Amino acid sequence: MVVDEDAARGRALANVLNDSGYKVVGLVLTGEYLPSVMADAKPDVVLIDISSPSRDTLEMVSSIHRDHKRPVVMFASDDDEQTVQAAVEAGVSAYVADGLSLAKFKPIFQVAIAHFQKHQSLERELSTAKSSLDERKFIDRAKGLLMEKRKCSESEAFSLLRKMAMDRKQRIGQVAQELVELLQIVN
Amino acid sequence: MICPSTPRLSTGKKTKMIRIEKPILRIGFVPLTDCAPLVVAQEMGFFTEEGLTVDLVREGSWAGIRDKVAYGVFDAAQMLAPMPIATTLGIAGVRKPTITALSLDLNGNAITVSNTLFEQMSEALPQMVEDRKLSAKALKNVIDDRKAKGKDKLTFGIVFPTSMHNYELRYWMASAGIDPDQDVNLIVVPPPQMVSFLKDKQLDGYCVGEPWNTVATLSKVGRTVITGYEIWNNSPEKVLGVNSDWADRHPNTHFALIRAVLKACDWIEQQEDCQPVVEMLASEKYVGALPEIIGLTMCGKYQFELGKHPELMPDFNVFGRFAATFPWRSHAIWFVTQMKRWGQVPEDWDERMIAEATYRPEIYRAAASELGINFPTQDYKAEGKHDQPWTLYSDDRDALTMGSDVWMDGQVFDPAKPAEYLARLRQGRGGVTSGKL
Repeated sequence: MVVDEDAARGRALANVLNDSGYKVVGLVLTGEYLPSVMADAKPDVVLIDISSPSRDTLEMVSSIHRDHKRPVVMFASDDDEQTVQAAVEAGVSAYVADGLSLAKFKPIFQVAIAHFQKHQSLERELSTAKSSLDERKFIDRAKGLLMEKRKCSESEAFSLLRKMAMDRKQRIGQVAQELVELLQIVN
Repeated sequence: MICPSTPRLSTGKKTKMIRIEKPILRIGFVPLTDCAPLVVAQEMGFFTEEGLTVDLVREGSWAGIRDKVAYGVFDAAQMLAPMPIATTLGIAGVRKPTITALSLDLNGNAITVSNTLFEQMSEALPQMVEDRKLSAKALKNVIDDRKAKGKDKLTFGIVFPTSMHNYELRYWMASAGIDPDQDVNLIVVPPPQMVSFLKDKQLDGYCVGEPWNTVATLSKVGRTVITGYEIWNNSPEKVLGVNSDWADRHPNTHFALIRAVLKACDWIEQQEDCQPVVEMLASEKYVGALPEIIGLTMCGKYQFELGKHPELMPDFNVFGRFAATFPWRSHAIWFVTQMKRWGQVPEDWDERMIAEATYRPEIYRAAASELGINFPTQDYKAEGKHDQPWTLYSDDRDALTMGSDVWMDGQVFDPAKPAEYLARLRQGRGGVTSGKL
């Protein structure tokens, strides 16, 4: 079973798992009532976004009472610290039905970790791309404003920005943004 | 600057040059009003003042907080007060030595039930509306009636198995002779989902922190029957948790972090107007709720009924006063007694050893001593003996004003005798108002 509030990521993981010969018995995308979903789907493994609020529900469906044997969080059965570390960093966790062997669980978990890592680096690239785009815009605006105020050329305006950035030990995009905002307030 | 008053705490002029081992930190929090100390430390620059750059990261689940601290994704986090103990013992999931040297607040929870259940309870025992301590007895009557008629068990939501909420709700139920493991279903529900599950009748009631009780009342989905404060005055609630290895490797950073949050708690305490804190918390970055809703409990008022004046509850949240920031080992011992009571840990585990390993007042004192504030010199205190504020004296220092500490059923807790306390609780089921009703 896959629980992920990020619908695209969850669906993609379910597809990957299905293609790898596993059967995804449930795909939970939003804040559904997990105890009933779990009771219906009876999963051997639940793969879930580490930050999902639904995890806390799984914690209880899991192994809280010492007298009851229930699914356990991956950490309890997995002594492979590196795998766990990679999972936490990638943002995925798993709950495993009591009795499912590590040998059977491990490959599924590896698929999930790899999937989450890929997703994470994609997001990082996107946000870097976005912020450099934004910065680009601010630099152009700042240059324009400087050219107008100081009556200087484009390259002079850019050197001025770069000097300010070096003096303040800030990125040029940051300096540009501050300058644009400041000039908006002043005017 | 929002704050016109002079902060009472300062590192003064004698600031020593200390090496902060890790000046850039990631700290996790859960969007509940009691993340206020961390938010204020960030927004008012107390982290910066201590040489720290902090990225406050909103986390959706308590399990996520636990795992990310255990595996170093977070340097520190707002934790449920029993969580350092539970994680150290590996009660569920990760087993990693985890400690706290700073409490973030006292109180802050309440028990809310659906409108239907509220009606049934107040029909079964009308006095419970005025005297909220009778609410557990009212619930007991409803449960007995349902049993007699062969109806399904009621279902209550808690936020995490090892939370004050769970122990509080169970304490309240057991005080009236309800067995929380037999007579009701208890399930874990993320706080933001409590209200909608109550509305959709998947839950009949829950115990949760703010703003989720007030939201239920204001949206006419449920009614609060009792607050955590009324179950146990000034009970522990959230702490700042770090893993034990991290604390060993970053002692100065840990001190700086504790000092920054201590200053924030003191700042909150000094504010005559609570609105600035409310505005900070309301932001999407933090709790993301309407200031009108957060502003009730954060300003010491509780809306028990829609359309009526909120009641004054000045101690609904306690951040700075009553030595609220101090990590009492006696609180840790109390948590272990509850873990035993409800079958989460074996009976023969030693409470005191667990308390000494997980709750670290010596670190608190080392950090706080540079601020020149007054703090307890003892690690343990009895509970249940004061129904009014009282005074704790510490060596060579001014008196410390402490809050009342009574339970709804008048029990007394001596941290030196946990086994006897536990035996009394187990015998005393049904104790609250027996004889009178």
